[in-house]
Amino acid sequence: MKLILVGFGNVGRGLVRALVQKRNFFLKEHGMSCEIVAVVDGHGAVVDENGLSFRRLLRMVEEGNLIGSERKLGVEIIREVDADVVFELTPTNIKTGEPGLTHIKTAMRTGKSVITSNKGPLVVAFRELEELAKKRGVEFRYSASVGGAVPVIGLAKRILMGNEVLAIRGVLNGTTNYILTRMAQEDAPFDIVLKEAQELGIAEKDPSLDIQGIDTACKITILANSVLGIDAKLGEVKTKGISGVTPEAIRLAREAGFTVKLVGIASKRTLEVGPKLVPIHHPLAVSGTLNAVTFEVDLAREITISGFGAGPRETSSSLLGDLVDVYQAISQRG
Amino acid sequence: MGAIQVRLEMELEDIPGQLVRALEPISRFGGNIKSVVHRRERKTQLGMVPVTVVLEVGEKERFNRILSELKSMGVRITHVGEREEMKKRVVLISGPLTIEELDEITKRVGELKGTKISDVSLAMESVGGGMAARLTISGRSDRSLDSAFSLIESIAEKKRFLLMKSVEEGG
Repeated sequence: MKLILVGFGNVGRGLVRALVQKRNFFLKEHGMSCEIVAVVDGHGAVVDENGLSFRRLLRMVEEGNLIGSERKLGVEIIREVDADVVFELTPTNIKTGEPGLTHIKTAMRTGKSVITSNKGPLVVAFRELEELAKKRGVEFRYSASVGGAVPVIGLAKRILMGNEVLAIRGVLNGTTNYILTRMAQEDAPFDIVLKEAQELGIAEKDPSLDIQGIDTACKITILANSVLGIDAKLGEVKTKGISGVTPEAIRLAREAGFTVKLVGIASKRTLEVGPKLVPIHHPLAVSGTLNAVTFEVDLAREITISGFGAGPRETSSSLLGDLVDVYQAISQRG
Repeated sequence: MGAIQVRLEMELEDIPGQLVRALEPISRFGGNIKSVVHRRERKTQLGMVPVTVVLEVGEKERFNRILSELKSMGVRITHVGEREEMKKRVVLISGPLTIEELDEITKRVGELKGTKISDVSLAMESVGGGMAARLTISGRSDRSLDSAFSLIESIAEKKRFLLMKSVEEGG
């Protein structure tokens, strides 16, 4: 499998590290061998059609930039370099989906399968991308866009295939879950805990997408489209953030056996994100930066999974799962 | 989830420890005792003391277990009262909320058919000077609870309060 990586931030570097580290495992367990033939970021690209050496890749990961890069754009590399799979790992832009959207379309149009962690293109053009992939006969996977390491989409679309999914409820944002958890533990106000989270690098300098619930709303949009088959748009998700949650409200909730979580809900009746009361012993009541998702389905009733929703190594779990999946799909086609 | 409220009338022997013994299975099987009336002045001709217990229990299954346990202990049950399904929902409101507004919410929910606010807990917020309130809505049916919730939701939206409900409801 020849791979192109577009985007060399935390997720891209984590993926390279995991790929290098696990190359023997993939060969032995899945009969899959991989070469990274190009890596592109906002500054340039490194290309070797025979596969970049692992030593060079790891050095680039250590130094955090592309050593010896030429000035080329992602779109050019995707168009010109021969490859089986493009990993689209650029930052999310929820308004235009760019530059990810153009990367993905270009990849599909040149016959390459696409694996992405980027929510932007999915939120902006889910249907269009799914149809384009089908039309061009390529594979399209996006497990890492929801739940980080937690196999949310795979569980719903594969493992639970015999069930109809009626509703999805999820704690899908680690930053807000960390803030709410700390507010409850310390009886501390939102602003102070947010500052602490920023100092620890858990919250971003501009945390608005997380704390306003927009990141969760993006994930709900993706789940509604991919799992429930609803042609949902981000703007249709009724979204409330957590900045109005006070330690006193959390305390009153606790006294009645609840904890407060930012929960996204997708069903045929509602698409919403907001702070909710979660019974303390409910499986969604996960603490810290953990994510958890409950699927309400017709046969199995309720299934909940939880795990790490972010982090480069954790996210590579989903990206590489998708890679094996794509490899198997392509191999079966012959 | 609907809790069942049951009125149990029984007769106990007038010897020490009988009441405690009869109440034990109720709590053991998760029943919540709301009231106990022990009427020694109304002893029966056989010298038994009539006792009325009102209890609330999560589901019917549990109540049946309590009942059969009491029977197997030899407690004489004379009457099992009307079972009223009381459904409850907890909601939290916070923001620039005043006591008067809370009063109005309670009043308006009480005016709806079959619903009332059965419990209120308050906390003054240290930042922002608002107030947080936890309300328990009780109602005879899911539908009546839904209409009470919609009413509170519309008030919260109009007044820009943050409203939180349980993740297990709706959606």
